[in-house]
Amino acid sequence: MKLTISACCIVKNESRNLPRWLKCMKQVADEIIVVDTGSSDNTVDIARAAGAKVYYFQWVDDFSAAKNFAIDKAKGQWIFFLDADEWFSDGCIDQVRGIIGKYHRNKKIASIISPQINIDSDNNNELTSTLLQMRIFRNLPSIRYAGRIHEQVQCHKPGLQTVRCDAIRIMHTGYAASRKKSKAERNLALLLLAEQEAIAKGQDMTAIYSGLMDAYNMLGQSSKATEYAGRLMSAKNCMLGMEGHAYDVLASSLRQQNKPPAEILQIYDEAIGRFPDKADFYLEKAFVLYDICRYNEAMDFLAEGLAKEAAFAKALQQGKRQLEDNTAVRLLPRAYCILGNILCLKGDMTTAKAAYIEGLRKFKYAQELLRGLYGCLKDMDDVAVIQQLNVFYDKDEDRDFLLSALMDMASGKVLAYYGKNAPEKYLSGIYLKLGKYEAAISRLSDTADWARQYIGNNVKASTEQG
Amino acid sequence: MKISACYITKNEEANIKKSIESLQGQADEIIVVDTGSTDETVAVARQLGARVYHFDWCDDFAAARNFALGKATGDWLVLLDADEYFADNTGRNLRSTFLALPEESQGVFIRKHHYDVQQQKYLGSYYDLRCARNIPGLYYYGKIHEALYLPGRKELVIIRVEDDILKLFHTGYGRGISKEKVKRNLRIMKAEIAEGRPIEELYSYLYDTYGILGDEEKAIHYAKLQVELGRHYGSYESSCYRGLLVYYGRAKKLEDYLQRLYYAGRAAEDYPELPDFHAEYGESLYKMYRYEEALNSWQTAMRLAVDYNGIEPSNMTDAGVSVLKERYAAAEILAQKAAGIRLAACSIVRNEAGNIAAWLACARQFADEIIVVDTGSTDGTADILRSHGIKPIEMAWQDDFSLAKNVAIEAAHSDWIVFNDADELFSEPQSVRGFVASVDNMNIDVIMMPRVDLDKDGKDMGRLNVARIFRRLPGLRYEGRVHEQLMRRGQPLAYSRMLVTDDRLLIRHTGYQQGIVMDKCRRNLRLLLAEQKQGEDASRFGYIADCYFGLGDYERALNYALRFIQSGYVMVGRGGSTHSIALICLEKLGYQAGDRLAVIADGMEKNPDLPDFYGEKGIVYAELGRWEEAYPLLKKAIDDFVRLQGSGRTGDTSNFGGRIIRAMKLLASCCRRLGRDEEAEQYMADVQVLQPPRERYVPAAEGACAPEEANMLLAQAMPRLFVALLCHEESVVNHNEPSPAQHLPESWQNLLRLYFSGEFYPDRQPDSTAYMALLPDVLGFASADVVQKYLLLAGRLPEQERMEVADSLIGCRRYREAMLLLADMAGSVTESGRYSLLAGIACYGMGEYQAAMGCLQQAECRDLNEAEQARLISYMAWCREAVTK
Repeated sequence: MKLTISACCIVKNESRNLPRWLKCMKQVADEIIVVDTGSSDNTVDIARAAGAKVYYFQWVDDFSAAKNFAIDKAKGQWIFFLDADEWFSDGCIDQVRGIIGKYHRNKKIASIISPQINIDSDNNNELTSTLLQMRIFRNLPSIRYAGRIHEQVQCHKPGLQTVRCDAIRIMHTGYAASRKKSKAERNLALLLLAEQEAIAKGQDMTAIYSGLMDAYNMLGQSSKATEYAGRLMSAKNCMLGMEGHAYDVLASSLRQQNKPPAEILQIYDEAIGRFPDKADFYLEKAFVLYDICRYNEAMDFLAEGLAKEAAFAKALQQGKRQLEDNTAVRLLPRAYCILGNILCLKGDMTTAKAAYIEGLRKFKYAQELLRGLYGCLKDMDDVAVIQQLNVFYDKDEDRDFLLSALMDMASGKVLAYYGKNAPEKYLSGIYLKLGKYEAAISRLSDTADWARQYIGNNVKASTEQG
Repeated sequence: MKISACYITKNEEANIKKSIESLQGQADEIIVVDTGSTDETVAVARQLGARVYHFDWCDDFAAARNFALGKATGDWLVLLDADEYFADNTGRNLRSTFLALPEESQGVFIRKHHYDVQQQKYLGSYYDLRCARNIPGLYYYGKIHEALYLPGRKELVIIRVEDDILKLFHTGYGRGISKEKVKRNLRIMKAEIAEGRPIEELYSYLYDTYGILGDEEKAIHYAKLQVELGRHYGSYESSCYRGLLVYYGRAKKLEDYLQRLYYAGRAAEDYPELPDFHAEYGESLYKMYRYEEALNSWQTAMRLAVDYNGIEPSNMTDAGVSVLKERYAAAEILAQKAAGIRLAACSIVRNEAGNIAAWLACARQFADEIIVVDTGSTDGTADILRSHGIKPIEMAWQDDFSLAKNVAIEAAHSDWIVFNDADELFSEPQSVRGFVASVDNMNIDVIMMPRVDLDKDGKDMGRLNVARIFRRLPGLRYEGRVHEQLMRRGQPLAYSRMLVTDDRLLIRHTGYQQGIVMDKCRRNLRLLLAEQKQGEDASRFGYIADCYFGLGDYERALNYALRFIQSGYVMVGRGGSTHSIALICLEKLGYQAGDRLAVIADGMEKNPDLPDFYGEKGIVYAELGRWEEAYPLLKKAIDDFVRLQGSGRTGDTSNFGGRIIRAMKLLASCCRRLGRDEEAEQYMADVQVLQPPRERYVPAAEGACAPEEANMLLAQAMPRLFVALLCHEESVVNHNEPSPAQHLPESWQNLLRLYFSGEFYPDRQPDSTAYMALLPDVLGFASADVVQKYLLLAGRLPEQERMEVADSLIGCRRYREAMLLLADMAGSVTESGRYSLLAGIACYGMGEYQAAMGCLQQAECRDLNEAEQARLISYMAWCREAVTK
């Protein structure tokens, strides 16, 4: 039988994100179901125009209720339930149906977890984190959402499996820096409500503690965040893919409260004790140690952390440890950087250089790694330096990146090499390095003049408006 | 033998009869080609027996004439214009003349006399080609200014015939013609050139034409081009040379004298047989004080004037010759004088290897003896001198310019001393000897001449008068360690004994090129302050003010300037300059109008001839909005200044040059306010010429960036600007415009001042926050020596801050520099734990593990905070590791 897929979504004022979601779903789904919970913009029109089936659902402070309503309307064999601010990555979208088709043949498989890649759309689409999420599941009566907020897909039929598929990648902008705060506020209200209910019904509080901890952390209420982090840790069940997140939150809220490093280190020690195979805590501890100048110890923890991360990557390749996030990836650039820095302080330039290079191999656009590496190259002649840089970078494509990263470190000749046809904004720095002082002074003066005037005008304008 | 007379005519009824009749029946056929007469020309010609042909005028003289040639059947041709005729019945000699001519003669030059009939004036004469053998292929070339050639543009062999045999009169305006005809000719010339006639053929005609039309610039332009081509086939080409000599004869500037000299020389060369040009050349040489050479030229002129009989007309009349004889006699005396006087070229040098060869070459052209005092060169200057046969007097430098200079004077034996610095060269060294000779008999002891300061591109940076030539008299010596003055037995010299020359004795000075100025200011200031220590001398305050001003310290400059003004002393040849300095300082420091006006009033009183002060007054009034009062002051100042510049004499130097643009802008504003819009436009246009608007760099178009980005740009630009200024002192101080340094916060500007001239401000401390904040950019962008100098500045910081700097340097792995800084510290701070720790880390970084261990162990016994403890532990561990390796 031919595979049929329904794409579902609940929306409220998503006119900005929905077009992208619709475009994506059209490529992979056979029917599209949009449940509107009270939009005041033209979200509904957009959905209708794209050929989606649009339903209205009265909002009752319950995400699961709304989502389950959508599933009820779906006719396909499989459900894709991506949020309006999510979409399948360009790299995988052509394979999606094929992959689902493959799993569809195995009746035991009921749901799929895949990486959700969070990018900060306010910050040049910088990757903020990767989490595993369940967004794809069979359309069976036994599979439905539960929970007012931080709703989870639950399967009430025994014997059914969940598989992890890293090939399907879901992009998500919902945690953009600017929107985090307002989401946190909204969530807080719902969570507190849910908390009351759960206490009344004697339900498991883990998910709620986690949600509240995150919300308070996001809102900067560190003492509350600490409180709920503590509660979460005392609870024995942790949420899927979020092991140890509590420790992170705890550590960061202690930092916010300016607690002494010793306390923070204690937290990480505990976390290491609880999760000895997770690279994250070794690395985080190393960072703290570095900040307080305990270099040798920092190096030890870095080494451990990097080893754990490598071990995890290897395990994944072999198909093991499928349900764990590799959250440590986001810490790697800094880890290599700090390792390199400490080795430089120690005077072991060769090993330092190797550390930076290893980091750059994986994260070539991490500016700090590049600067660290460059620091080790300073004694080499310009030609050798350029050769080393050209291993990682393309002279033309990466020109802007190189110039802005290395302007103050590179010699005049190196800058001149990469700076051919450089955009205007780099010229003053290049002139300065090349000894063309008059030209540099002229530009810099003009820049200062212009900037002052620009700022002055804006201040004037805003005071006039205000 | 058959003779044909050929004419081309247009409306010549008045002249043609006279001309044909003057042929006295010698012509066997008369051909008249008429190009469209509307009067009776054709009838009159026919009546006189001419064959008249019609030719459609097509702006082509050669075509018309060739048409006429085509109709001629004679053996000899007589080719007259309708307004020319044979005078004194010489027309009857035509046949006999042709018969008597040698076989090889192909053309005949006949003398043509020009009359302005209307004004009844004789205009002179010259030879013109008016007869030719009717050789097959003979043709005219040139739509205008057509000339006769043999096939292949070959020139004819021409014989000259004298007035008594054949003589022509020409009526009209000299060689030239009415303005209408001139314009027509110009039109035809331009067309010809457009069609491909080489423009070189027409240079002298263009000169002539534009001259008549009154366009002197173009006339001179073409005259020059003609001269560069050299002498030319034809006659009267010397007019171009004459024109140039007249034009440059109105010499005001050195340039003009030199141009006249050049063209007179060329003329004499290209027309060696003509007495006129030798006389002119002699005149130019005389004007440049080159008497011996002038005599030679004049001798030649006088010799050639006797029985001159060349083709080229000469204007040398008998009266002219006797005038020449008088001048010759006068020049003879001067030449003898010049040969007799003795000149010594003196200089003091120190490391002038780059300049000394040129200085010597200049000196050799006028000096009888050359005396150089070397005060300790280490760059081979002395060797260069010796290789040129000069043995330098070697003496140790004792911080005293006068001392050294007087040594040179003592060693001289000549009548006059010429004391130039090694970087000062006479523009015309050949004129020096003659000039001195010409004033030797006067009651003059000192000769001052203008000196122009040139920047590295040869651009004029300013002028002033300097005293460089003086008699060797007992007691006439230099005084003053720096800014040395000539004094007569300790007394300043009387003005009456000083003479100021014009640009002919101009000195070119390269010593104020960018980068050297500030160093010189500092050097001078050192010497001047040392002088003052030996006893306060207000007469030197003007120079001290100069130095501080040059270094941009407007406060101190003002202080000394005002004290100098009040002292009543005056700097020779630089009358108003201290006032000018004071005024700029007052402005830069934000003083009110009242203060400025007070100084202006004083300046005006003491220097009434300078435009500077009423100009400054005008500026002040304009800034106060008193437009009506400002207008006449500004206008007068600008006009006077421009006139002063153009006159070639510098007098007491004006400093207004630096303010002229400001004055013009304000004057334009005044004009607008007073409703004189056109005048305002004119002044703004002048400003554009003087100061072409510079294209400014704009980081982003309007609205293309957010205010936060602009803030970021500013934050990034400022430290880099600071570093750029550190590396380029010349840009820091700018008296006339806002300096780029003004963008920087005051504490940063203070850092700049301390960096450059800290020796004069021993008690000032740099702002440590600023110092530290700028350190990363200095380390990142400045050159190695600038970094070093900047780090030296850290020596002025309080000890704790110095340790911060050392720590920063350690953070950048600049261990050596950190160590230097630490090593320089003394006292209790060196007993602190932090100090030992940093020293230990620095030593470790430099690979000196034993020393590092020592320091670290010391640190162990001392007080350290947590972070320092941690570092200590790490480094000690590493150190142990390294030591055991």
